[in-house]
Amino acid sequence: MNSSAPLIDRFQQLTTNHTTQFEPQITHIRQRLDTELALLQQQETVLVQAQEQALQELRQAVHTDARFLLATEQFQFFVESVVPKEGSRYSSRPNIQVTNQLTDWSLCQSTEAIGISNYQEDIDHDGYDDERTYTLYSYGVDIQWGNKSQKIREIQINRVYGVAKQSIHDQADQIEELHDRLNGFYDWKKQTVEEKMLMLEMSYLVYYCCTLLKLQPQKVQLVYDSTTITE
Amino acid sequence: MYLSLSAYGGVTTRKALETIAAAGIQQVELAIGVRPDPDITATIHEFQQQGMVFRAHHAFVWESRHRPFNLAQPNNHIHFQRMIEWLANCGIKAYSVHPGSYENDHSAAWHQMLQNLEWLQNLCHQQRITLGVETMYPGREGNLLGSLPEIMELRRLMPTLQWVLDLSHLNLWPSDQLLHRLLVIEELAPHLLEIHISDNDGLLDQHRAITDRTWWLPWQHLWPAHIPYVLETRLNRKSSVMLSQEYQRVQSYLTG
Repeated sequence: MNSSAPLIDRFQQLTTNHTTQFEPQITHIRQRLDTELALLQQQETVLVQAQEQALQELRQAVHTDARFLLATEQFQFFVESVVPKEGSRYSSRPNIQVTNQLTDWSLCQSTEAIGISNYQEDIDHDGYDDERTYTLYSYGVDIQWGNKSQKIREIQINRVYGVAKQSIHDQADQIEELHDRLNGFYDWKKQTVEEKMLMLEMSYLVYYCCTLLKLQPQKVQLVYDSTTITE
Repeated sequence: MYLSLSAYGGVTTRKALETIAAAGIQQVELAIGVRPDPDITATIHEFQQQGMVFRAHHAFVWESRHRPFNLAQPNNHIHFQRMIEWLANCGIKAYSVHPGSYENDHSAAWHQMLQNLEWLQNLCHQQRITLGVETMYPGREGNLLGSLPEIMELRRLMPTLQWVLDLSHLNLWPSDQLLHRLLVIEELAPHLLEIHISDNDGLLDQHRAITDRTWWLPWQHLWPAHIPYVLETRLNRKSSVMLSQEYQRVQSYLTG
């Protein structure tokens, strides 16, 4: 019969000592943490439900008619925060810009309700530019304007070409893209400058509504590992 | 107007062609972006019998394994030979390429491109296929044919070569070079194989939808009306109804 190797036995004895000494303490801490967290989550549930209810009401209001936002200081602050693109494309074409004076917006005089709903985010791994592939992150939203409607999809947020290269579309880019799509409410050959301005104002409103529609209740989260023994 | 398969990526050629055919579109340019089919030759023949007409562009997908290439680098001639023979067997008469890009050595890239283009033009000629080379944009990667002088130089060196005018690439030229854009159009107008269209923000080749603000709309009188357009607007995963609407919407912008 072969005899056991003292060098191996010594190491195994040490790991057994380690387990005996530390595992009960770790288990105890974990159990205490679990109990306290469960208690915390119980208290939190009430508040999260209230947040969900508040968001639900906000979404419903935006779905019914988002124009109520035009008179809010939050929307005013947002409009002032958007920096139109410097040296924009189509430099040979006249570019229109919204005024920060919201009371001058033609959208405020418009009589038709603007319902914004069904915000959804999307990922497409099969994007392709000439000679390069990318993953596209985008979102979409449904718009009801009086008796007209549009399902807007693929407002681009980011194109990721690889670990080191991406193309982020900032809020000015997204507003521009929304504006292009909203102009689809009109026949482009007949669309007037006033109607373009109206759609530009609406693109600000739709973008802002999307930032509201993607809000989620805030929850407290503690991430901790269960016992891990590194070997 | 042709629709580029690069605009409908992520699915097999068959799936893309089924959607495109259901949208009532009968002119398609094979390109990069789609997934390889188990039997693409049969697929192409099947759709040709239904009346679909094809062109091909650059490293289009035709084998079970897709191989991108760069004409500014040495290439596997046997692979090109097989590719051009495949096009000829499919009865495809128009093929176009990107000139290639380089990292550091512009001169070496330029000469390699010339060599490749001359060789490829000869090969295409033997198979009765017309070859075109596409106009590019400066880009950080160092694209060849991204400026007026280079395009003029290649016109001088290869006067019988046909051209693909990519109007969205011209939008990526420095914004003070409108005159250069127009001179390129004027120079290439009598030698055009096709015109690629989409839109971008002037900074990146985004393949965005064409709108009434798209820069070249007022300049359509500068090229002959019979030159085929190839739509390269990103249309991934759109339904055939949406494809059809977008196709018709873009056509309403074209005066030809």
